[in-house]
Amino acid sequence: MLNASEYSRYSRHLLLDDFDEHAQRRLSNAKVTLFGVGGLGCQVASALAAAGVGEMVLIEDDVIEISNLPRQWLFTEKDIGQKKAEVARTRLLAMQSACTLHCITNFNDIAARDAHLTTSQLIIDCTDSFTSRLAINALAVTHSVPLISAAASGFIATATAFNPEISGPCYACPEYNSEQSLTCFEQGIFSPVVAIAGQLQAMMALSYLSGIHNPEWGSLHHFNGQNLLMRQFNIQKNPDCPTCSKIHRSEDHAHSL
Amino acid sequence: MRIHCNDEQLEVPEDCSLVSIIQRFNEQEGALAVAVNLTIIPTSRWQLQTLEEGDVVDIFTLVAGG
Repeated sequence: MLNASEYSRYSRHLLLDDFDEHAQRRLSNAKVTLFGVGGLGCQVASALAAAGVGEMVLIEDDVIEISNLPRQWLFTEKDIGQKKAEVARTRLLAMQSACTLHCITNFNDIAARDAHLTTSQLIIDCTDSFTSRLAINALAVTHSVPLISAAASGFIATATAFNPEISGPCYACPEYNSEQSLTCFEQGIFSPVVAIAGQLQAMMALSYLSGIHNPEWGSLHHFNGQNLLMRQFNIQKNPDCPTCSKIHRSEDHAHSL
Repeated sequence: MRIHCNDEQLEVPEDCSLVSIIQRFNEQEGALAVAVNLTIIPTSRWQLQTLEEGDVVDIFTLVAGG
């Protein structure tokens, strides 16, 4: 199943309980669409490529700035001014030449984005605003693709997995007041905190894609970097959710016809 | 009755609403997440949500950076 080189490369995975060659092969057959290659995205993309995920789509229109370097570890001083997605692709291929990497550097290229979403097993949201998270959540619900969303500002990291295929909540269900969201621009960010948020996403993604276990869909994992406490909350499904209730209602209506 | 909010024990009236607790504790800026007994309650339901003896309320600011 795995060749000798793969067997050697992934030997420490294969020693894990419940993780076998089939699980590793599921990773190499997986396709993931990743929105954002900043603090979260650098962590997730590196972890997934190194672990053997076979295909990734990197959607990011930003360029590298000097203020990114303390936490966006795929980039170096020489990369300042270059497109994040393209530099990340080069670095990830050096790490894992077997990975197929697509870059979309224009958020308005909806045709290319949607073509990839329809063939992706997982969406990972590594963007940096409520506005973009709500939009990506709507895409996940519309295309019925599981979504792993995380965020970090100051000393706080959060991460949640959502699955539109089960009747759980979506990212929009809590109806957060998105106009008052706190981002790294207002609060700053402690580099290890965003790394922890990204690695929580990677942990959930690799567990799900390899088939070793599903994340707890709809559980918000909350990490406080000041006291190192990790807490877990359940997000209540909102029957009046502005996003998922409309999609489900239209499906229910279609089924009743 | 007694409830717990953000690790503080509070003595509150029997008819205490979730909204009154949020107003009492909300000193921070930003989008709030409010959980009762570890379940995050949608914002539109805060007004209707009633509290019971021993309930644990968590109010925290949700971050959006990345």
